[in-house]
Amino acid sequence: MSVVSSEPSADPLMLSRLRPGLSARVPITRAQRMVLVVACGVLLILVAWHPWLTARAFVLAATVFYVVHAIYKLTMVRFSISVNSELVIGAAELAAVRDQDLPVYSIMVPMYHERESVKHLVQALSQLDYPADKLDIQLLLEEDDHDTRAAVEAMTLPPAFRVTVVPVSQPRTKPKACNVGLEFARGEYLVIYDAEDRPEPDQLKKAVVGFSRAGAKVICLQSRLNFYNPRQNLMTRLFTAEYSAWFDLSLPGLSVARAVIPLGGTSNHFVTLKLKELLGWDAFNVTEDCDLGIRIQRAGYGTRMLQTTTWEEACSRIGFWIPQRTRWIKGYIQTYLVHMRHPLQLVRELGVVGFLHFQVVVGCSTLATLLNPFFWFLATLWFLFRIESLTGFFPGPVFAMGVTCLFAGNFAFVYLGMLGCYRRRNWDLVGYALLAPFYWVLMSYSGWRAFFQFFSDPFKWEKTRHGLCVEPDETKT
Amino acid sequence: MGYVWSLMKPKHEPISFSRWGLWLILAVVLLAAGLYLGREVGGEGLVREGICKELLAGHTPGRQGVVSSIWWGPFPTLAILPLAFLLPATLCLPACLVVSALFGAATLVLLEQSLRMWGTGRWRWWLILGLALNPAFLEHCWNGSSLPMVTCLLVLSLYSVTAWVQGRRLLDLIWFAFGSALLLGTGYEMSGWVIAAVCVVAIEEWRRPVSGMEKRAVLLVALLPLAYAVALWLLMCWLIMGDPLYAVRSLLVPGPGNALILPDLLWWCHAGLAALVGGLLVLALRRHDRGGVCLTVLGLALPGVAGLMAWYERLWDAAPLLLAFLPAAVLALGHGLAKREQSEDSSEAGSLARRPHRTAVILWVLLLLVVADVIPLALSARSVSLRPRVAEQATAGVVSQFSWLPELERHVRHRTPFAKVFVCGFESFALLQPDSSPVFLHALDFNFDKSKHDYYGQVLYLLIHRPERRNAMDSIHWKYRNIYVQGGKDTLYDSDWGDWRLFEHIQATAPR
Repeated sequence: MSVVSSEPSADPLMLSRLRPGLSARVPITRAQRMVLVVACGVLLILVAWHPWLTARAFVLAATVFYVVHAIYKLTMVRFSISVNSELVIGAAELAAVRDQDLPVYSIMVPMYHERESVKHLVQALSQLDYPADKLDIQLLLEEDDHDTRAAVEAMTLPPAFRVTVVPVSQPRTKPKACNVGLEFARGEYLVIYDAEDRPEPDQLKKAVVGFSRAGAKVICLQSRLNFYNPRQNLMTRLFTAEYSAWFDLSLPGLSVARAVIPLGGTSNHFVTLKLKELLGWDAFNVTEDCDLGIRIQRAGYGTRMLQTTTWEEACSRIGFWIPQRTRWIKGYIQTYLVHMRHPLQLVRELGVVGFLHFQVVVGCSTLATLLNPFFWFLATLWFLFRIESLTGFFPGPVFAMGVTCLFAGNFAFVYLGMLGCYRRRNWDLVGYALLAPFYWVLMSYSGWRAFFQFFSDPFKWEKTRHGLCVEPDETKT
Repeated sequence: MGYVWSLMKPKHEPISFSRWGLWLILAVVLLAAGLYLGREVGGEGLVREGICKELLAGHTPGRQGVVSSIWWGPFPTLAILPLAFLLPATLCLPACLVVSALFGAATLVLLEQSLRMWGTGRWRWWLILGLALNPAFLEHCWNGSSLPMVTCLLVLSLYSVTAWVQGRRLLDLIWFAFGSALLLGTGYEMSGWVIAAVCVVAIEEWRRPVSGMEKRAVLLVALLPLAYAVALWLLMCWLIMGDPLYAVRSLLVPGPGNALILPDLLWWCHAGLAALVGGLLVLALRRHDRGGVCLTVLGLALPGVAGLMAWYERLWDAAPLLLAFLPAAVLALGHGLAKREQSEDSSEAGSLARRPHRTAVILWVLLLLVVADVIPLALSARSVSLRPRVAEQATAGVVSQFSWLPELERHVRHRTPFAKVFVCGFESFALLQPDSSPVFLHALDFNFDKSKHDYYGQVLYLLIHRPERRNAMDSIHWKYRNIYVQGGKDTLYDSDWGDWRLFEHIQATAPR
């Protein structure tokens, strides 16, 4: 085992230095702040001038937004069940791959306070079906994380493993550590795993074949993510339903539509050179994966879905789940604002259709979590107290659209969760997906928490605690 | 790994752009042909258009019209609603005509697609032509009726459930789940069939040698949309009508002696088809073809359900059920032919056996064209007098008011300028427009005491349609039995206006 300390030449903040316009180092620019202030001012004037009309206009806009969002999501699901929604590598194709033809593959595992995961991680990565001499596995450990470093040092790591120590510096984020690792990556291809990940053994081979089949423009393959502890408690059951619907039913649809794909935080396979060309990850973005997915598309490259799964640990406690979701939504807000600094340039780079995809995928999904509580509140008020004046907000066509969204749209999303579990053959979880609305409440709570945190502490990285699951469920296999 | 792609990944794309193109072209052709032949909006179309207008105007009767009766299922109205909103008034094209044509075309396209995927070969075109030339089917595609929706959803459900039994693809199960849920929402007639279909899926699942959890998951996926549709309907009834069972009250209360209107010849014509499908069922049983058995059993369930409902006097018109039987029979025959062709291909004597098979197809097409088409044609000519008068008075472009409506208004205003006329039942939507005189009010849920309280001191009238066919199930007839003939406790006969009867609502208290 070799231990490498990051040298001064490895600049983990390169993107923010060389392309500051694409970095979240400045979370909201002066121009954006001006637009926000003016918009709020106009809104306040409208409310003061004609509150009734403003409220009706707001309800109309929100209803149209919901309709568009629902139709879009269902269309993506429809796309995802088309034949070419992802790269499927068959067993015969894998068997034909000769070990000597395989390139060197870099695996990077950023770890921070993950002492309890080290053993399982080494075990999982050792099971990968890839020639050991062509593996370049870097454990990225923070300089001040003595526990994890001690745990690693206590183990006898296989030869392919090495440790890269990330020096203490701001910001303390995962993408910064990844950028350090990227500097030392030797492989032609590169993949990120989290400490608790258990990738399918043939995943790397599938990625190599996938890259050769996908064409030169595709520089990233996203694997599916799912959980190995879905039955630990209700939280993990609902989380599994959500992940199954997202990675199995939505992302493949985005891939078919050639839309921007917000990458999942782990199991993203990259062409290393191209990733370096893109200056790696944005160290200031708390969902660096989502941001990188957009930048890949803006640079004219593409991302495809790869039919292989990495099993993760589902966060099983609300106390940890909410900070994790807060970070994700905050990162989406960051990403949206970063890429909307120059909307016209974004249109030029993504095209009009790609721009609209970006608005819905990144913008609308965040906005929906913020808007939902208002409409839940209105609906509850009406159902409980039958306040007739509320109907004034919903003139005929708006009422029809609103009712459709409330009853058909929400049902469709619950049903998608069920289908996700069904496709994963998690038969017993199908029924639990019916409880998704309670899960949405938590999402909206996290959404508002993220919104406020974005202004108060934009770079705060609320670390998800892993290792709470003692034994993975047997149903994984 | 517990992940099976074949559950969802079809070998063929189920719907491609060419299918969409074919569908739209067929719909335009159907619509253009209907307009060219001068077909008019029928009674049902007028009512549903009226409900949509009220709904878009944000009026309570519109909401009541969507949910308050199982005899007027909500789905056809909701399907018309977006077009009723989007179609510019200057086009003078009722949305229900467009929707009927779209669903009629979708029926034919889905049939073609289903038969093609089963491998019926070029014979499928003849089979589809048999349905496409059926005057009764065409009439419904041209008059804004909800029957094309029924046939379309029926074909979707039948094909999906058969494909599910054969291939266990999740996508087929989903289509079946939504097809049957929407079918239930099209109207009362199909509810019996939906129950039969659910039973078939449950039995099929119960027989499979898989874990109980998997069976439960399959049933949940298959039945949830249906259960949700029912629950939603109950909820809406509770919210809008104040009684979750309001829509089915007409079934719970003894009916007003509604006679079934069904020409005898139509029974005979469909008895022939039923015998043919029965023969196919026997063949499927002998071949151990589970998909074929499922398809034919569910096909035969249509006339079966019609018979049962007629027996219990809960069917005002069997024609929709029996007309829906036509595409089901086409599907069953196409499936049977495909199976036959596959077995012939695998046998050496295939070419010899083809001859009787072709003869059978030709005989079938003749049967469809002669028996199922010509007889209904003759019948439709006979039954013109039975059609609601409202359809005769409506123009193709503009839904007009009855010519006697202004006269009726003058009549009631003659006594006092503050008179109100409660127009009872669903026919009121065909009669009144959102901008009609404020003298007239929709009354889907008329209550004597409430009206007395709300319009204290005013002269009130009730306008009630003759209780025939679907109108006999309006709430005014099951809440106040025999009101049309005998009047109510506080009503006084005033006059007759076409099929409508005007009563004066006597108030015990003198006006203030």
